[in-house]
Amino acid sequence: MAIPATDLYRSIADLLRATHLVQPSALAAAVNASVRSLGIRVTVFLIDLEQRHLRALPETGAPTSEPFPVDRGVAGDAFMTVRILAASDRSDLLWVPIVDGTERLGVARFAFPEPVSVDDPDLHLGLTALAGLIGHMVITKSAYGDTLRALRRSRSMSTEGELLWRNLPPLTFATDDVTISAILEPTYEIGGDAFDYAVDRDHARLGIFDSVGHGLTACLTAVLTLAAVRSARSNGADLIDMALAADEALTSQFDDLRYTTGVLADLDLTTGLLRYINAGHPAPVLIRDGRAVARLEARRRMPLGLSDSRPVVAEYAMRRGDRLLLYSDGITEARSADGGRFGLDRLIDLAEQHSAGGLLAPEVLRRIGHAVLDHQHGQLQDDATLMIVEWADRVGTRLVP
Amino acid sequence: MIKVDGDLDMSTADSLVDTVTGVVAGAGAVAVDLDLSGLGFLDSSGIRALLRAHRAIVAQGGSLTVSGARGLVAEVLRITAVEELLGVTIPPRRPGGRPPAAGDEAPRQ
Repeated sequence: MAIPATDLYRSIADLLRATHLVQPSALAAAVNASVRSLGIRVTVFLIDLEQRHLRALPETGAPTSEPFPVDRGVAGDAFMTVRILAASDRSDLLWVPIVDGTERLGVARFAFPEPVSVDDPDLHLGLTALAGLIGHMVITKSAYGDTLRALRRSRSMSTEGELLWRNLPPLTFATDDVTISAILEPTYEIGGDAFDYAVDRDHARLGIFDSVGHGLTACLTAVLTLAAVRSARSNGADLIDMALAADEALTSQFDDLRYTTGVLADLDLTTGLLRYINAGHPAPVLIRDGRAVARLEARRRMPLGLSDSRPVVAEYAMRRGDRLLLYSDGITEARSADGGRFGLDRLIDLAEQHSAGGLLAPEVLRRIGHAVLDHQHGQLQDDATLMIVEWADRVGTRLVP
Repeated sequence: MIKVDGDLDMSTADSLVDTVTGVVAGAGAVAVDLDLSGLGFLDSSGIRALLRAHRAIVAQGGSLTVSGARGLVAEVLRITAVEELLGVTIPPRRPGGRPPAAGDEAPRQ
């Protein structure tokens, strides 16, 4: 059977028109209303925050589905590889990845009235467009209710987690020139770690942060640091002034020497010149051709919040294809039951091994995050953050279905 | 000189600050050296404790220095870039003193 592309486009237009008045819990019903005339039935599955299970969006009157692990089956493969895949046992089923931009949100199960071909280019175009719209709706509608957010949580979120997650940018962003992807653990109790980025014109501004202590106190320090850096950045400040703005915000609010270690960086997407400030943070590692070729610690200043006005901007010339690995010590210092550190070598090895195996950057991070958790038997002693920045031609294309 | 042994982290940070400030209370401009040669573990809460002790002593006209740090403890002091502020006597950096990476060479500025 060939579904005319124009029919799918009509469904997309219908859904787009309906979306204005859709509340979060009615998203699945709105999607199905738009494709009902084609005999298609859609089940939307969203990935949970820890990126372990795909969870079906409930729909009134529709059968419920149990969450299933992303590591097994065709649906998980579609999520991990961001490819439309056919079910192995049925010719009338397709699994379509749902992304917002390049942020992986889940998969949609499309059940057709007749067998379809995963290689039909018209169908491919129509389905990616429809799934793209669903992805946009998941993100935009999350602002208006708790249903979508709650669905992505396997257990209750701590206060500090709630505060932090709402202050972070999406985990993944990519353009033709650059891919930025990050993870944070532990998902529901994350407090003092954070990351940030902003891509504008020829520059990607990056940040990774680790505030002293744990829990809500550390979280308040981290969120204030984020806000100060962003405020300075959006007002046109350079790296040094961004750091000083964080110093000022923290010392003006807290008189107890709490601080945030961090790296602030600015990557010129035309030339590859990376300028950075390392404020008391573990040195990011530059990986070229599978080898660590540099650590970003040519100069250092004290952590943000301990006023340090030394002009400490350093530079490194990245080459196309280079990957930059920024991390907090919660990754490398994660300890197993017998006291063994996870360590920087293992981190670099895993990143290289997974990348060489063709995995996408967010998938590499998902697996490393789980490896760090497994190393500590699921109980992290400290917040752990990892961010990969890849500067390469056409690097983002593979992240789009 | 005050000798600091064991672990300096969130659970022991307050105790270090209390001890140091207790020792120097009313003593005026004293020069205190914290000997960290017996310290096995130091994290960011521990660094903050050293900074709090430093501030308390400087506030009464004294000075605080840190010596004897080795291994992980020296590495944490180096990474956090507080060596200058805390007057850390820097031991020579051993080639194997931190996790190695192939071709590791900090770029020159």
